[in-house]
Formats: sequence, structure tokens, C-alpha cells
Amino acid sequence: MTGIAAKRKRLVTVFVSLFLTAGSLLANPTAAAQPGASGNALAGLSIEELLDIAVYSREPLGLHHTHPQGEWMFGYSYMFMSMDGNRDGSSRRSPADVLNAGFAVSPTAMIMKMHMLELMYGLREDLTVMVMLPYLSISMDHINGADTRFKTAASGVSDLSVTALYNIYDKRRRRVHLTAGLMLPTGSIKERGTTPLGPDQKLPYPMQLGSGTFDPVVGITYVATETIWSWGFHLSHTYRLGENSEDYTLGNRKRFDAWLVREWSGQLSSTLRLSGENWGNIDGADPELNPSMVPTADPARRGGKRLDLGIGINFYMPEGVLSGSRVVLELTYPIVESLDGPQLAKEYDLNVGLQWVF
Amino acid sequence: MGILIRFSFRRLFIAIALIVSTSPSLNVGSAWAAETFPEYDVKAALIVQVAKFIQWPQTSDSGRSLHVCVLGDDPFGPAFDALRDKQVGGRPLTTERLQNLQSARDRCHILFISRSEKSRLTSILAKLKTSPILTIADTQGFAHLGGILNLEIENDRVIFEINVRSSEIAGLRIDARLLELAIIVGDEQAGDK
Repeated sequence: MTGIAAKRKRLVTVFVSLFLTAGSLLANPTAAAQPGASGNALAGLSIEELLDIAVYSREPLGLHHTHPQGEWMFGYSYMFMSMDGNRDGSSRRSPADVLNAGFAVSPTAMIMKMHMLELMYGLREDLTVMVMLPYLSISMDHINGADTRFKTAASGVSDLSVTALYNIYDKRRRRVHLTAGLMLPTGSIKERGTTPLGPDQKLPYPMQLGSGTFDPVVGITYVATETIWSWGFHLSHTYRLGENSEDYTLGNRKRFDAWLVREWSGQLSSTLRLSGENWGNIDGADPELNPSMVPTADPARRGGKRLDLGIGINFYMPEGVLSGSRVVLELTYPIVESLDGPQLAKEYDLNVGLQWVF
Repeated sequence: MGILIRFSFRRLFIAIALIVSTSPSLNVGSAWAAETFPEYDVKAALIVQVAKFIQWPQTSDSGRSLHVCVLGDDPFGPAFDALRDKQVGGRPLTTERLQNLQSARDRCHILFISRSEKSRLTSILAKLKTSPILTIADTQGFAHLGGILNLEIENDRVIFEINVRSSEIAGLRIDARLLELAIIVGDEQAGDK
């Protein structure tokens, strides 16, 4: 078993265990919600204090909402994404197919791990600012025509984003907010590594940590909440402005999310999410990369579209060290994928998040 | 930039964990203001607090306890059972989940009408109109239809509407301090705003 496969198996085992635990809680919701667990904390509060308490949100991970003036939210999330095998259009391509297409090297698998720190602050009742700092670790397995396998890796801070969320409607359990943000080019686009060609080789586009350009992001989010159900959608568009220092511009990215949340108890809810994404090819080219060497170095083989289905669990922690925080687990699988390939295909991603409001 | 890109994330995370665990202002386990709570836990706690500002007519004070009922599907879960430990003005709270209205008229001082009863809300409120029962719901338009207190969520906080005319018809007296915190609404039928 390769290192990547072993890590993947270990993570899936952990995640399945967590889901099974959540499943047993679903079967017996009262076990997850001891009577008065948070009621004890609320019992001594005056009516004014109760009216000032935030009720916790149930959105899936990565989707945000505005916060009341003066309120902070700190979040940490971890994403593990596995890509396995290649796809051209919607058809699978073996490494042999890729090599027979004229490339010297074929990628075979990729693992991306992302740690994300989020900080949100309610500037006004209708305006919240958010800063997100991702840290990426990427490793990619390859095979070449001589049947030699090798791995490249890169890690570091990715692009920092600063976003404003502006509430345009918040009444009767229906909420709409607009988002406008800017991703700053804090992620490296000069990652290098050792390949069969030698040490200190420029790594291909998907191994770079940032876009190298200032990227505005605009979006709109709608959230509706009922007693045990809530649902919503989010649309966003990421634009790439100008050309980076390596003479290329990543493709624009459009994304939508639609989700449904079922609350099983005060402490436990489950989420079902459908996410669609469409991203363009690269404009320009890094002169240090040879597009015929490996598909990941070809700017015309970076675009694609994908529809993902995600299932998740939200835990609210009424007691203990994490009291008042929200823990979110989500497993996402692609159900439709079409790539300007050959390009590595997504296998799944696992997400774990922790959020505190204070 | 190179230093920024290649710093150890593990060190950063440990540093943040230390800051979060040692800073009094960020100590998430210590202060209620630092936490979020499930919606229906907050609403259950509010029902207890609201009851302190209500005066029932003498005739409805049969027995010492104050009986809190839920009609229809119970959205509170364990938070509703936890009300049994509480007292309001020296009177212990008792709780009951009901499936029909008749028993509510006989026993309940406070009746939370679940959203599962939305389609027959008008008829329920008409039958309870003159009963000394504090009717509560979290259904859009409840107070305008003649319910006494409606709980809503706005900007992650619970807010509430009170229909004063309905409380007067039911024979309940609501303390002015509670009315100051409420959004006062009137009946749709009466043409009130």
C-alpha cells in the first residue's frame, strides 16, 4: 500500500467512525441532547440576556452568514481531498492512455490537505467582515514512460481573502446577503521540487499554492430556516485580474451550493449539499513549464466542471472545553465531472470544521 | 514572503490554541455571551422568563403549579422537559405534550402551539380566545391572527411580538416591562397595525 493510500484509508476510517457515532445519536436523539444541557447555562439569565443570545446556525461548512454588530466568529477547518486517476471529458483515462497521448509523465493521484483559519466580525448589524487564511499541503504521485514512479510535494500559505458580507434581507426566517471579497496573492506560485529531470524543477500549475493575481469574488446567499429544516443556496464568481509574475492567469471560477439541513435535536443536525463548480483554463503560460511533459503543465488542460454531493453532520457542544462551539463533519463525492483533460479526477473530500462565536 | 510561506502551521495552530485557552475574553467555556445556543433551548428559557411578567386571573389559578403545554409536534425536545425543574413566582412549572385542544382549555396556563398546527391556527385561536391561557408560537402571523406572543428569529437573536388586545380578551395582565421589550402588534381582523 502506498503512503497516500494508507493515509487515505486511515482518514476514511476515522470519518466513518464519526459518522457511525453520529448515526447512533440520530437513532437516539435524546442521547445527544441531555435535558437541560444548555438549559442549565440559560436558566439564570434575565429576559434581556436571553434576547441577546445568538442561536447557532446550521449551514454546511464553508458557507457563512452575517453576524450581529460586535460579534466575533472564529473558525478552523481541515479539508482532505483525494484525487485519483485521470479523466478526459467525463471518461476515465489510465496512465497508459495519458502516456500514449504523447506526454512523458502521467499524474496518478493527488492529496491536498488544507487548514483554514477564519475570523469574522460584525461591523454593523447588516455588515460583517471576514478574513480567511488557508494553508495548503499538496502531494502528487506520477509515473513516466520508463515505469518510474515519483512524487512531488508543496506546502505553505495560500491566498488570503478579505470579504464583506452585506445583509439585504433578514426577516421571518429568510435571509439574503451579498458578498464581495478580494483574494490577495499571498500564496506562492514559484514552488519547485525534485523530478526525474533533476532537482529544483518548477512544479506544474496544480502544485502551486496561489493564483499570483488579485482575485475579486462576488456572491449571493439565501438561507431559509424552519423548525427542524433549513435550506439555502449560494452563488459565487471568482474573477482573476491581470497576469501574475509567471506570465499566466488562472481561469475564472463559478460556483453554486444548495443545501438542506435537518435538525434532529438541539445538539445534532445533518446536512445534504449539492455543489456545482465550473472553472476555466489558464490564460498565458509559465515559460518554465513544458506543456508536453505532463498534462498538469498544460494551460489548456486545467478547466472543468463538477457536481458534488455532500453529506454532513453538525454537532453543537453544550458542555466541556468546546462549550458553545459547533463541530461540522462533511464528506463530499463528485457525482458528475467533466474535465478539459487528461486531468486528475476528484475522488472525494473530507471536511472537519470547528466554529466559535464570541 | 519565503518565511511566510514556509512557516510551520503546527506552531501557528499551537499558538492560537494557547491564546484561545488563556485569554479571558476568548475563553469560550466561561461566559454565556461567548456562546451560541440551540434555538429551542433559548425559546424554552424565554418562556420561563416571560411567565414572570404575566398575571393570570384568580379563577385560573387552580392549584399551585403553572402548567406549560405544547400542542402538536414538540420542537423543544429535552429542553421542554427541563422546564419541570423551574419555578415562576414560587409556583413550580409542570409540563405536558398535547395532541388535542380540549385538554389544553382545561389545564394549561401557557400553551405553545407548534407549527405543525399552522393550518388550523385560526380555529384554535378562536376556541381559546376567552380562555386565560398565554398562547405562544413561532409561526409567522401568529400574533396578528389573535395569538398573544409570537417568537421570531432576526439576525440570530430571538425577538417577540405581543398582541395586547388578545391578552386583555384572555384576561391576562402583561407587565409593562415585558411590553417594552416586545414588538406590539394588533389583530388583522380588527384592522390594527
